[in-house]
Amino acid sequence: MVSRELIERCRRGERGAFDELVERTHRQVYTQAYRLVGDRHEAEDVSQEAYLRVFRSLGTFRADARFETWLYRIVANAAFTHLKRKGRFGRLIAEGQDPEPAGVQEARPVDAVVDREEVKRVLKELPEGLRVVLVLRDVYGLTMKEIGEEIGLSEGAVKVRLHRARKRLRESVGSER
Amino acid sequence: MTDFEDTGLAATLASLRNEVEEPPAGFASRLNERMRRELRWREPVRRLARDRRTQYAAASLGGAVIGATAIALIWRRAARRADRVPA
Repeated sequence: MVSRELIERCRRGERGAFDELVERTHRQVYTQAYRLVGDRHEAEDVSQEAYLRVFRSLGTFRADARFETWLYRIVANAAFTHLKRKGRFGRLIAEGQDPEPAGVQEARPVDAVVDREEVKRVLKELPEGLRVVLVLRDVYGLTMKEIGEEIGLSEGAVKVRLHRARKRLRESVGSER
Repeated sequence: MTDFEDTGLAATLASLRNEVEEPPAGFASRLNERMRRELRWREPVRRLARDRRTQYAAASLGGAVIGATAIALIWRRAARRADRVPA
């Protein structure tokens, strides 16, 4: 949790304040970047870019907003820029339209006890276009509107993609049982 | 969608927010080093821009440039007019 006081100190350009901010948040930032780009080395580049953006735009951060949500959006944005640069953003847009994989059976009900490791593994195997929407919505709690703004899709398109991603996840987790 | 939110799957996904992947060794120090490099030139520039004396100096310099340009224009027009007057 990042305090308002720490943010203020960063805004004033206090030496050491930004180090403290990095120290408190770098694990979360790295994890989110890794979940979005799916590669450890690339996640490091995305994290660096995200912090540069935080540093540059801290002045525009509204004091009444939640810092963590703002940070999630910046990391997502840095990840999408990275994917664009790598020529993978097209896949991000198109993969949501993938046909259902052959052989996937009807989803079995997923009970309350779910193996976290299995969910993480299935999540990693989802196509990028579905994974990013699911991660941003169900893991980081961004709204459909926020996700749409970041990827450049309408709210409706995000909803459709989220529905598909959840369905695939349920099917994959369910079919392993 | 509502069905999904009631499942253990949704709860598991939400709980991943608090679970972190361990970054590579030296990741935090590399980040800080990069930020420090960024701060090194950015911060002095920002401080300079906020300094009243710099602002006065910039305003004076701006005024001098505008004044000099105006004088140059007037001088040029006068010179042209003098060229056009028949001897």
